[in-house]
Amino acid sequence: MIRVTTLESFRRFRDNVTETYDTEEKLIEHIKGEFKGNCKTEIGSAFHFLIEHKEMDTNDITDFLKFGVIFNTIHFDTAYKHAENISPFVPEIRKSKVFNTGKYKVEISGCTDVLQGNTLRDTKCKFSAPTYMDYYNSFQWRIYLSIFGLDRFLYDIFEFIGYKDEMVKDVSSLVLKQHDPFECIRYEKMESEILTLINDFMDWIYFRNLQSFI
Amino acid sequence: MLRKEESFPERPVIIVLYGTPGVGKTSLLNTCDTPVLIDCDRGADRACNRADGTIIATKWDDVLADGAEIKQFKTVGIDTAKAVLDDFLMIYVVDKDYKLKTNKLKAYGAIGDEFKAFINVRRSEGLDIVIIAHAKEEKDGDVIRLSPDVTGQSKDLILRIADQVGFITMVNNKRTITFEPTDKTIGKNVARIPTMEIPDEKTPEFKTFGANLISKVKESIRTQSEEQIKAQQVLVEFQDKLSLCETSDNFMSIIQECTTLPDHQKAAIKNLISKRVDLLGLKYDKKSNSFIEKI
Repeated sequence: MIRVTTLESFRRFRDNVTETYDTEEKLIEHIKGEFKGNCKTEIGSAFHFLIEHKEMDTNDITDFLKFGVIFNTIHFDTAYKHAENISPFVPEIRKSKVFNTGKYKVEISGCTDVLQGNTLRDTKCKFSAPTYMDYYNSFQWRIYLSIFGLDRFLYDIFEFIGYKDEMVKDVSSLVLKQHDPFECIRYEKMESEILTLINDFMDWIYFRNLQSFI
Repeated sequence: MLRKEESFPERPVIIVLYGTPGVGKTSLLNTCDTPVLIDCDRGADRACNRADGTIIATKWDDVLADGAEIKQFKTVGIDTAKAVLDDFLMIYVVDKDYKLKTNKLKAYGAIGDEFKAFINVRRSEGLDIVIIAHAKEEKDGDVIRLSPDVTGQSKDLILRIADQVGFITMVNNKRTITFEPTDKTIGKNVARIPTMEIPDEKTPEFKTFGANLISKVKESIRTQSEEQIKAQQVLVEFQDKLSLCETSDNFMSIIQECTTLPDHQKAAIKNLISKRVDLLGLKYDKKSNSFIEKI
């Protein structure tokens, strides 16, 4: 079973998207499960949690506090208002699909943040101005659309402006900007491009002898 | 006011057309319904036909000054995106706030705001918008593709607001337009319009090519909006039914009802069942094919 995020990490390495972050070492770290997240990913997870749990019971509050993230009231309101705007929706749906490239038969699994009717939505928390071409080029939305058999994917992008590493998980002093959603649409050659990516990925996995990690 | 379960009425659309100089972008724009061309690139006279109205602008104020006249048309063409966003609007926002001259990040923010305001006014007037751009090679790591020639942030803006992004090029000496993204070109195809040959400009089909294209896009968006509402209604119905489920039989009956639904809806309902079952302290027992109490 291969996760969508793993394939997207591989795509970034394959296409040499950045020389600093998309290195083979980091990809292998990701595949071996050595990357345990950082403050930014925790902030993102906590913000996701707010969108999915507008009405929190005691258990939810306990779960939320485990993130250790400090938001301000405007951040809470932004998450709740967004949840209200996109409702009705079903959060956190995990689904998988077997892809047969001819050379490899692999199961890819992903968990979508939101299913809203026929539209998949993904919440992204950013700490610098988002570049929409990064989303356009990503294979995350392509693979999700394939797994779910849908045609439309929206990125809901929230930017914490002015984040510094020393803030750790306290973003209460930051302005949160909600950007307009970015729409991605299925296209004719999407499925064949996914198969090519999977082939390239599996070739690399065997080349590096990493079969036991997938 | 529209309720969530109601379809949106037909709305104006935004189409981006890009391609190499001389491929016929402006000529295609002029085949839209009652077009007015905002010519910021001084290329209107090279088109093989003429728009019903042409604004020959030398600065953004010229365009704003013609606002009242623009609304008498049905389609507004912006030719080119780079001239408007990177040239005209950059000068316009710096003129309004000189500090933006040295703060490019803020300047692009201001340009985006001005452009969005202009677009929103035209949409509120019911005009369709066609944005023309030249094609430029763009590098993303090792991948090189053609995309509309506008600087990064302005390009983000037009790609985000566009319903369709089409690349016009010559294939076997015939002009074609493709909205599908390819490994060589950027595209966006909300209406799933196949790659098309653009009719010869002397034919009657060419005269309404742009207008017909926009009609197809509108129709497709309307249909998709209706399908989206239906899909949402299905999930709401199941959410309501599940909130009343208490027993194993109730859940098994819901599962039975799901069998004919598309896979993505089945997955969503499975997720909802799992949450409800958990809340009631139940779990699925494979052996008895029923939901039993957790021990």
